[in-house]
This record gives sequence, structure tokens and C-alpha cells, in this order.
Amino acid sequence: MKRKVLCVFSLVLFLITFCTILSPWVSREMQTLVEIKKITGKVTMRNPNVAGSAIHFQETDDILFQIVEGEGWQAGQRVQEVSRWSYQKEMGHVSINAGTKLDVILSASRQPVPGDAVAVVEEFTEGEDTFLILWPEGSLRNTYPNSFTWIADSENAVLVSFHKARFPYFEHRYLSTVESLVPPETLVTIDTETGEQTETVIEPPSARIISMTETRQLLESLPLVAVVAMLLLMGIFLWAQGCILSRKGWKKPLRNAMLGAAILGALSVTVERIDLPASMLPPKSLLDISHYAGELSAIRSQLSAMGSTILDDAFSYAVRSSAVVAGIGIAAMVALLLLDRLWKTKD
Amino acid sequence: MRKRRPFVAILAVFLTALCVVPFLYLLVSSLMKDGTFSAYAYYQAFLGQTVYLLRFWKSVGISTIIAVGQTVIATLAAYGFARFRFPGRNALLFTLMVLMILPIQVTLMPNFMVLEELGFLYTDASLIVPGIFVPLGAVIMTQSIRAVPVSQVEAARLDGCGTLQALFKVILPGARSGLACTFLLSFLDGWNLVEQPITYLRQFRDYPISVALATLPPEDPTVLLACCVLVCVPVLFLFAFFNRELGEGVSMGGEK
Repeated sequence: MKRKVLCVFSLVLFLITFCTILSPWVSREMQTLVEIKKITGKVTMRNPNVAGSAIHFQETDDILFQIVEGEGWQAGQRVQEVSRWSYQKEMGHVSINAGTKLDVILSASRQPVPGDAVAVVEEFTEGEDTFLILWPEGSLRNTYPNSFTWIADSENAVLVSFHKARFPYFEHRYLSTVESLVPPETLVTIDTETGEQTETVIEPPSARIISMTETRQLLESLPLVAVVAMLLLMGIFLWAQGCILSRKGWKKPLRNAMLGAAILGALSVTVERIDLPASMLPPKSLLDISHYAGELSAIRSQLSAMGSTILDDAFSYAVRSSAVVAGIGIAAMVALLLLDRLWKTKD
Repeated sequence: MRKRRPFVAILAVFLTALCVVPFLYLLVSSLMKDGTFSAYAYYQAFLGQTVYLLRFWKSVGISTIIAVGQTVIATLAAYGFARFRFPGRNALLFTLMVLMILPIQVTLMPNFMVLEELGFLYTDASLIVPGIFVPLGAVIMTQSIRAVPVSQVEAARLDGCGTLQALFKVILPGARSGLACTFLLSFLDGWNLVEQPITYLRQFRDYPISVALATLPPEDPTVLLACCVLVCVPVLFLFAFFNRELGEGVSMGGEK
């Protein structure tokens, strides 16, 4: 009975410890990177203002966000909507009411959501980057700023380079410069009871601008992510080998415990080296595999349509390295099984 | 042939269900989000944010230190009460029993003042130190050590065992059930601390999970339920691991 209890709870302990090591990395990766402007609240002749691009559009609403210090479970810097009474939208900029003190979010690595944890980017580096601009189906693709240099194009996408790109990459900064030529639709609905006619303007889906540098960073991180997955599998395999498959493994609990500790140590070293690009991450869960698959598949198909080989080396590196990691992991598990059989034969 | 009693069986099933259904509800609800199966709450509790697991490990650490400390102190105290005669022994033991039944609220303020003098206030030591010096373990171990036959100890002494050697080599192996009970109950005490953290700690970030869970925002009840499942894990493990010793302790008490 005690052995069964220890077997079950050793797996639970391993998984909880695994999650404890992984969760700081996950919460750090899922933080929204933001660029802020501090409004000090001093009363001056002119109201302080921020660029109009600080307004974020959410479905039918446009919102200005700020960061605040959370309390309790929400400790740390968090996103919060700025009260509508605190600002006015004017031509090309947003005027903040005199005396209002806040840290306005100018741009973010992804759409800010109230309550989300944020990390403020103090300094940006500049350099050359290549953007893949994807327009919705049916759009024409020639409306991008003159500062972008054309490289290649396809039916509804264009590959451009920009020599003054800022890192880390914030898509929001560039979206307002890229327009869609698909005109907005006007939907007219008539109420059958009152006969009242209502017009609703439906804006077309906006373009997406994907940084090739960040895509390459994601692809180069995939082998390390595969290492994490393999470490989890090896830990579970070690547990199964010790508690279910073989009685010999149970007779060597110290060996299994040391191997388990080694796996956890390797995990803590590995996650410190993984840096996923914020713009490529899913909005809700870091483990949303379908999001990554969809993004990479769309990027690869567009680049193939354009005949561009800009990321071919990164894609093949990701596939080859992940396969090598998987192979090493499987070989280690097979070796452990064979060693265990050897001990069994000797005894 | 034993007479079947269907009414007793039905009553037993009903009472068991009353105990088990809340846990089943907890498990099922933690895996449901908006009416569909979703492990999102577990993702949030175990991976999405570090705070839940850090508080869990902090509670495990505090409870383990309390359990180990109380077991050691209680064993040594019980050895003295059970095997040695000294003036005021029975009065001291009776005083311990009276202190044991005092409600926690009575001792909160005196402990607060003592902890302030010792400089432990607003630190984890304010939870650990009062948790170690609790009379419950001494009372349980006294009864457990008294159940070990004196002849065994005398035989060991004749073979040259010292006082502490007799305790560790003869008495404690025979008092395993008492040790298990003491460890388990003191761990549970430490795991379920509520009044002490609220009184002796100042900042939210210092609260163990038993208190902090009550302040989870209501927007995400499934995360709260997932954390409750996490909170059940150490207790389930200890009860399952010490199942035999607990049963032996109960049956020994019944025989007496």
C-alpha cells in the first residue's frame, strides 16, 4: 500500500515541481511588452498629449490604456483602461486632461487586455527588419509606406524591408501605416415592426504585419521547447519504468530520484535560455499549439507563394534540431530500459 | 450467518456520498469552463502564474517544519511524562490537556505579545514557533509511549541501552502509530492555519495558501477550484501513506 501511494504521489510531486520551475518562465513570456509615456499630472498651459496611435481598437470601441500597480493576487504592473473622462481624442493625438497622472501605454506587443501583467520596455534597439504584410482575401497589396522597400509579393501579401525597425517588435506601431484597399461595407437593416432603417458600417479586417526577425527567433527557439517537452516525457517515463514496468526500478529509488532531480535541474537551465518573441505568442495560453501551427503555416505558405527563401534555413533548422532532440530523448529512454533488463538478467 | 442490514448499508452509502460528493464536485467543476471541458483553470493555476505554486510550496514548507518540530518536541516531552517520575508530573500533564482544549482565539493575543517581544512578528517564524510548541502532540505521544510494554524497555536497559537509545531503538518503533498521528495532525494544523496568519502577518504576499485562497478574485472561480485541488494533494498523500498506522492507533485506542 505504501509503495503504491509513494508511486502515485511521486508522479504528482514531479509534475508539480516541473510546473513550479516552468511557471515563472511562462508568466514572464506571457507578459505584454509595452512602451509607455509618463504623464506627471503637472498643470501646464497646454494639456499633455500622446500620439493618436496610443488608442487601441477593440471590436466597436477604441480605448486608451494605462499601467497601474496591482494588489494581492494581481500584484505587479497591470493593464487598466483609462477613464473616458480623463482624455479627449483630437486630430492625430489624444489630449489628457490637466492634472491627470498616469502611465499611458503608447504601444504594446499585443492587444492589451485589462488585468494582464505587463513589462515596460525602457529602451529599443534599431536595425533592419523584414516584414511580411498580409492583407485580407481580396485586398490589393500596394498600400504600404514609402519607407518600406519592396522585396517580393503574392496575391494578398508583400515582403518588405525596413531599415529603421525597432526591437522588440510592436505590430501596433506599424498597423496604422498600412491600409486596406477593401472598402468598408455598409450593412442596412430594416426593423420589420417599426420600419426603422439602421446603417452599420463594417470595417474590413485589418492587415497583419509579421516580423521575419521575430519569426526566425521563434523557429530558433523551437528546439529548446522540444527539449522541455522531452524532459517532461523522460520524467514520466522514468516514473513509469520505476513504478509500473519494472520492479527493479523500484528497488533503486535513489537512482530514480537522482535522475528525476537531474531532469528538473536540466529543465531549470533550459527554460532560462528560451526567449520566445512576444508578437508571435498566443493571446491566452502559451501552450496553444494550434496558434503556432497556424501562424507558421500561413507564413510559410505566403513565402512559398512569393518564391522567397528568407526563412527556409530557419524552418529546416527547427525541424532538424527538434528531430535530433526527440531522437536523443527516445534513445535515453531505450537505454534506461535496456540497462534495467541487464540488471534483471545479472540478478 | 450474519444478518444483512440493508438500512445500515443504505445509510453508510448516503453518509459516504455526503462526504465524497463535495470533492467530486470540486474535481468536475475545476475541469469545466462555460459548460465545456477545459483544462484552462489548471493551466492558469499551475503554469500561467507563479503565485499559486509559490504559496503552495511555502505552505508545504511551513507545515512540514511545524510537523517535524512538533513531533520531535512532543516525543521527548512524552518520554519524560510516560517513563519518568518527577514532582508535579500529573499536574503538568493535566495542564497540557487543559491547554489543548483551549480555543485558538484565546491564545492569539498572548502569542502576539510574546512574538512581538521575540521579534518574530510579521515573519514566517510567527507561524512556525507557536505551531511547534503545541500540547496536542505531547498528549498523544504520552499515551502511545505508555502502551509500549515496560518489560521491553527494561530488557533493553539490561542489555546496556542508554536512556535515549531505549527511546529510539525500543520505544519509538513500538509507538509508530502515535508518531504518525502526531505528525499528521500537526501537519494538518499547519496546513489549515487561518487565524494566525491574519493576526501575525501584515502583508498579503506573506500569507500561506490557506488564507490567500480566500481572497482570490471571483472573476475566475475555476482557477480557485483548481487551487483547491492542489491544496488537497499533501493531505491526501499523508492520509494514504499513514493509513495503516492511523488504523492501528484507532484499534489500539478501542482495545484500551
